[in-house]
Amino acid sequence: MCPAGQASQAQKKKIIVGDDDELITAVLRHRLEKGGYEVVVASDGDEVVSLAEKGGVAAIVLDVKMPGRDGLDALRRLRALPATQHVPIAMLSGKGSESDIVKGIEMGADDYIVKPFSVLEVVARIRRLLKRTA
Amino acid sequence: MTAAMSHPAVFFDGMLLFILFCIAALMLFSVAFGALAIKYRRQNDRMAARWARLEAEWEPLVVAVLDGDRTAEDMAAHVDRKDRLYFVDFLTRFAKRLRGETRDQLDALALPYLDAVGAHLTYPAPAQRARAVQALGLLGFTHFADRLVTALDDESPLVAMLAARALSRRDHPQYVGAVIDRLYRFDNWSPRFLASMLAAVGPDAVPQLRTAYADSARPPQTRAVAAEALRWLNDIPAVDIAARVLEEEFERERPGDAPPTPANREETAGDDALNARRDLAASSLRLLRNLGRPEHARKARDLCASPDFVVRAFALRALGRIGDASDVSRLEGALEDESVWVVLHAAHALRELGAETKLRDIAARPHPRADIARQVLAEGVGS
Repeated sequence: MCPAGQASQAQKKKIIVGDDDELITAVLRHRLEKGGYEVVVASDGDEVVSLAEKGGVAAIVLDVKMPGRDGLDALRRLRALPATQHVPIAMLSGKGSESDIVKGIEMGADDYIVKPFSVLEVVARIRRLLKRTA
Repeated sequence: MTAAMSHPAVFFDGMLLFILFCIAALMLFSVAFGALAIKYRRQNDRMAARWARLEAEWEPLVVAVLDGDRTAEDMAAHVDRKDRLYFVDFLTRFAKRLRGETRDQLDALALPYLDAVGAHLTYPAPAQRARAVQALGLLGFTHFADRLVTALDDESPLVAMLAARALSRRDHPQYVGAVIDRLYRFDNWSPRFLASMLAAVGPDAVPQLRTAYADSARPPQTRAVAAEALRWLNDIPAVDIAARVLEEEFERERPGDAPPTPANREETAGDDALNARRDLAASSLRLLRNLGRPEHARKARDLCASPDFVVRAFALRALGRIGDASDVSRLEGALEDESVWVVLHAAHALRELGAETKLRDIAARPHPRADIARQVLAEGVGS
């Protein structure tokens, strides 16, 4: 059960989780919805961009490796769109090398989370990003 | 002459009957084979559909258990006894993606099913034992670590390797000694892979790696892997061990010595003992190069005239980092070495010391090593 205050504090902000891994999206969706967020799942970069273009997105979690348009490409596109250029984006990736993280941040990501990840940590980081941009 | 042969019509009737019988038998066989293939295909499809159904049923429950919304007992009601192993397989997919508190909950969820997996460690098929080692290493490490140590001695090198990987953990460095002791079993694996596996254990592995590296009773391959892991862990004190190893194991080989094996030839693949010694020399010299101080350069200089081209090459390369201007003429001389590898490493070392005059000279004129000189100079421009 989620604390009543938590949901109202989050005011059902919409978060897009872009990852083709169903297990990851299932775990994140459950935890984020429990935290009072509305979660929309996309399985490739194009879907993330088209969902985000519609507006009303509070944050995006984006896997680097996805079929079709990959996460970094989607990130570049999102940063070029007026509707999404200021939306906080956290990248998820199995690549944890310094250069990969720097590349993601330099391309406009607000955070970079390396897999395997702690679900609680991901949610806390998203909450922090949302607070920062509120 | 038989009666059949004396009457051609009877003979041909018999042949015809035989051919018809063969055709009928072949057709029957084909139909039976086709029916069997369809049966197995359907069986597989049914099984795949069943697994997909089970996964669809389990996934939301597992997610809810991991989030504390449901209990492990709720989950147990949905896992039939005959599906326990498949359920553990399903959980390993989560295990590879998660860490932290959720991961601990996953381990707790898996625990009641792991005894059934543990039973597979003694199965005759190596693939089943390997699968069990993987699952136990991922989901039940603290409960099954001793059995994983036993699996290091499994007759299948693949099972042993999976056990070694499962036991090389930063959070449980106490098992690294057992893995080091079995490195001799993995001589078909790349030393770099093995070193990276051991380095993943972190600084707590250093004392045992140093001991193994310094121990001349250990196989050279084990010592080489230990040296490589120490280099990856940036262990400065290991450089003194490297200097000692080079002195004790390789300095006795003087130019003109008959190598123990065809050491000065480059086509020596298959000579495991020679390759293991070379790996030890190369790892030790890489340690000198990466972490050594100028006073260690003498060890490298002593080996620049080794009868083994691998030792010469790595000794010269080390001088590029820890050598000085006094090494330039030695390196320039090595550009005329009979081994292209020695020439290549000497050229790199010269570039690293900023002494490119001779390299440019060779690159600019017809010379057997002009291509190497140009290549190394071009790399210098790009880097």
